[in-house]
Amino acid sequence: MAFIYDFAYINEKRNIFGKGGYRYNVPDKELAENNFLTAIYRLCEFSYPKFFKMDNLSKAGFLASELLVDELDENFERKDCGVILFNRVSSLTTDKNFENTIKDPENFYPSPALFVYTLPNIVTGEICIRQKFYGESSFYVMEDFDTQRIVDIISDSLQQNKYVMTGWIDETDEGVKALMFLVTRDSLYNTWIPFTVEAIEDMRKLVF
Amino acid sequence: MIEILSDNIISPLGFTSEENYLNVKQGKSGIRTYDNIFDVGRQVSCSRMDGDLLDAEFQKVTGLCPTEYTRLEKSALTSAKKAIDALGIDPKNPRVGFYLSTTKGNVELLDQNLFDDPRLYLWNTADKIAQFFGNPNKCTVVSNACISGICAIIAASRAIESGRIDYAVVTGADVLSRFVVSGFGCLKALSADPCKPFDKDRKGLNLGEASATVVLRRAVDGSGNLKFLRGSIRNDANHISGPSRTAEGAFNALTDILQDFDKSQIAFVSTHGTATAFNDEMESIAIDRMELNDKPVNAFKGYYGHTLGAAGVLEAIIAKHSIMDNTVIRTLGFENLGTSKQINPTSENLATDKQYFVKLISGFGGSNAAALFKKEV
Repeated sequence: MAFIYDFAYINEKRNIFGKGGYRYNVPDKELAENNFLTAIYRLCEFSYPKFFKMDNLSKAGFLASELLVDELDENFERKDCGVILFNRVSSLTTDKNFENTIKDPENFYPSPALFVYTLPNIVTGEICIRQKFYGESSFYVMEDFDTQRIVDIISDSLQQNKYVMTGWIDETDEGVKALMFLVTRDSLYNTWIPFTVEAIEDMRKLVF
Repeated sequence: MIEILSDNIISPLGFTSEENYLNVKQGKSGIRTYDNIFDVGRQVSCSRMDGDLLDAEFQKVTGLCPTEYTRLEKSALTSAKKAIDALGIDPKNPRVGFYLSTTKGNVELLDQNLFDDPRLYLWNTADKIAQFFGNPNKCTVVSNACISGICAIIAASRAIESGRIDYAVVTGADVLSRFVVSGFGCLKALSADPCKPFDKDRKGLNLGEASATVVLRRAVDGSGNLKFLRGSIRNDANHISGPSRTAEGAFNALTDILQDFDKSQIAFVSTHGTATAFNDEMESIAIDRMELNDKPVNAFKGYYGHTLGAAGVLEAIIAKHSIMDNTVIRTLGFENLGTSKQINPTSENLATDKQYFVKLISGFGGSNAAALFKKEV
């Protein structure tokens, strides 16, 4: 049986982010100066200039992945970790920004950086680059957070990946929502959280 | 082990896999050169379906009204229906799972200013497919850039092997749009003329549109169907829009599927071969590191362009029909090798008596996948 090593989350609507049992809010004075994701980046004192070029999905994925790998067991082998994420909207927010940009005939071929983020799986690539993960990277789109289907897909992938960083990462009018967890099939990291539908449902209720 | 029970391709080269394969074998291409397609203000070559022919085929096959469906929905539904109709399976059965591989779905609706249209959601398109067949399951959507098609085949195969379903209907689909032409244009990845994979004069890719479907099930010995033996998906962890200089992900994926395998049995490697400078160079490095330099290598982009989410499924089907026909297909557009590593792209159709082929594919986000297939004799 696989286990959840840890989980991290970001919920803009409720102004919360955290890891495992630790929960934080972004103070109003930080939000006055930065948007929600940038405020988290500053509060956590992360240093990764590429962050500022990313779209919101990638920013949220970067932040959650950094929280997850903080103080990770030293035996964790990064190269054997995959990243498989799920959401509802694909990259639609960035797609709309892109379309609005190219409506201007003067701007029909805008900066390549804008187009690249019109693919939902870019966030998986950003996480692999930052964390030096060389495992499987995939992105799935579904109408709702379908926990059973997520557990099925990740359980299948664990036959070919020792670890998978996975979860839900979505962007709507209400802001960004992410719940990511690091799943391991390796008994070395057995924690008390089994990788089950029930465990993920509990986390979801806690943060969404 | 998994096998392909039936397959279909809906493309400018035909509405069945057989018709598509015969056209490819004869060197016909769907690519045409357009002066100002979608009003993009420049010459672009791409492989585009005739809308009237697609409408007629859609209506004939599904009995639905073409004006009520998008171009993507029409081609995907027609393809899935034709692949299923070739079999005796009941698509309503909950033991049948549906998979959709697409990168941009109905993004053309944004070009029409329909910013709040629910059909923009990829799962909306997917559910339309499952519902059309009366299937009670949610259709699984894989959107993993250009490697989506092979990822969907791998995901569906795993679900069959885990015992959750008995049959999987995997459809890859994308259509041309102003959005996509602009995007690849701003990356400076588009060739004005028909593309030339692996050639020293290659100038970029052509976009294409198609839908392609495979129906999978657990392999039955002696069935004569093409077997899908192994698949692997690996990230480069290098760059979001450029491939790794060491072809790390592609090499790792190939290493995974060819572990303990006698490579002399491989008939050919069907590459991604987009005809961009970076992609073809990267694939040559992966093939060189794998010591597959002498193997015939081909790319089908000269026939179809880059069909995005359909590419993995479509190209696996063409490769399937070619190995069943003891043939290695020519890489249309290729003349003189233009990669730093010495590899062996085909410049004509070749005969083969070997049973195995490899499908290799790469995409944005540093994603790569490889798959090993076998013909039963």
